[in-house]
Amino acid sequence: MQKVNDYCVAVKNLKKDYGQKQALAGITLNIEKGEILGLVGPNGAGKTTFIKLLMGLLQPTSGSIRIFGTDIGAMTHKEWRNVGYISEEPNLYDFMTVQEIINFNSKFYPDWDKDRCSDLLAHFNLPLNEKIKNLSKGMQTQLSLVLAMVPMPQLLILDEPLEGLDPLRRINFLNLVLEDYMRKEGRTILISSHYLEEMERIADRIAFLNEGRLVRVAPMEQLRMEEKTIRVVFQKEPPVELLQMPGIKDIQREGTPGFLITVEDNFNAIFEACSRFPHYVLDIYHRNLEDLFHDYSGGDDRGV
Amino acid sequence: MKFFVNPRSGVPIYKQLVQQIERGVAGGILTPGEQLPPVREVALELTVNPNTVARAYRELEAAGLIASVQGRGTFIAENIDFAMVEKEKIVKALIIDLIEQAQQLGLTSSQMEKLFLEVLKEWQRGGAG
Repeated sequence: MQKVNDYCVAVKNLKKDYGQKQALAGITLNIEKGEILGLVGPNGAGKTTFIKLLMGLLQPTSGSIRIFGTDIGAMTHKEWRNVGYISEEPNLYDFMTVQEIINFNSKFYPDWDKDRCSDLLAHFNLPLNEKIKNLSKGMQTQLSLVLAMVPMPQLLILDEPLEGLDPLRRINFLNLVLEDYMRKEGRTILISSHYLEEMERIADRIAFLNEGRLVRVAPMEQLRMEEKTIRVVFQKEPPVELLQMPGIKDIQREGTPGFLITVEDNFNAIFEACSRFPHYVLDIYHRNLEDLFHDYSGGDDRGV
Repeated sequence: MKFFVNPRSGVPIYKQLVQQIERGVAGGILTPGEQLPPVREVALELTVNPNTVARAYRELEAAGLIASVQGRGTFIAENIDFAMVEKEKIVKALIIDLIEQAQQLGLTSSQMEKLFLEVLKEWQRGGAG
């Protein structure tokens, strides 16, 4: 059993109401040191509320949040410097130029790494003398990433950072995040996004949020492994035992001899049993994050 | 060897990498002693979590297909027998296909066994069929 202080972020029974409306209905979630946690869920699920609470930008109705083992209410400026954050709407001072906001930001960090900053700016090709309000949404996001990454925070919190980026820039952005993540052991990232393919690439674990509740938290690889659908057309009616094997989540008939068997556990045994019984067709369909997203969010809002 | 991943396929990314390297070895694209790119390089080339790449390497190392040398990197194992293991895996899959088809035609296990040994003996004598 890990102690609360061993987690990078420990959230306990976190609730947030906006007037009568409940935005978060009691979230308990631990983020391990060194992991990349992907937060997904349909629009209005409470992702941004959750992240703003973590950053202390909103007051919770009840519950507790610890970062690096300290209650966020008691965290010092020095501890907060170890938390990098990109908000959903990067609200930078848009009257400043790129160079000006960098000069401004660097004053908050005694050991601001100028060379690293120049490298990152060059990587994104950001124009130093341009006013922020003239930058595209994508460039503003890239600029916020530079500002968040230069201090090498132990914890990086990214709220919908891929929004407004084309596919090439999304990959480019993630590569930079990964490169930065690998610079030092034990760095932790919390990222929320609607881009499920990108989440499949980079997340160690996925947390599904829906209507203010955490509906599922599991390692990415486990999510992929556990749910599969088998399409099988038997040559004659299969034995009842086969269709009642443990691990079968759902069975749909397709015509008389056809079955769609959705398996959540015990896959190998079930597949083997199907293959041993005479059949005409036997195929496996893997279910990806998007299928699961559909299941967990009730299927009416794909949010993609 | 160039690696590919398909994040949408539902097959775990580490498994996709394991399979590609296994097949690369069995097919001779990767040769014994050949160095594999470091985890961080593969992670950035494919834009995947480095822990995923490390997991694929760990799995291959546990299977004896690759070996990592402290400070030098990760290499395809020198022992050629490991390639044999991969070849056996491929043939095993072919045999399973064969069994399935024979079963669909209504042959029993003992009929299959008998037939297989008969054909093998004929083939060894130098003239199949």
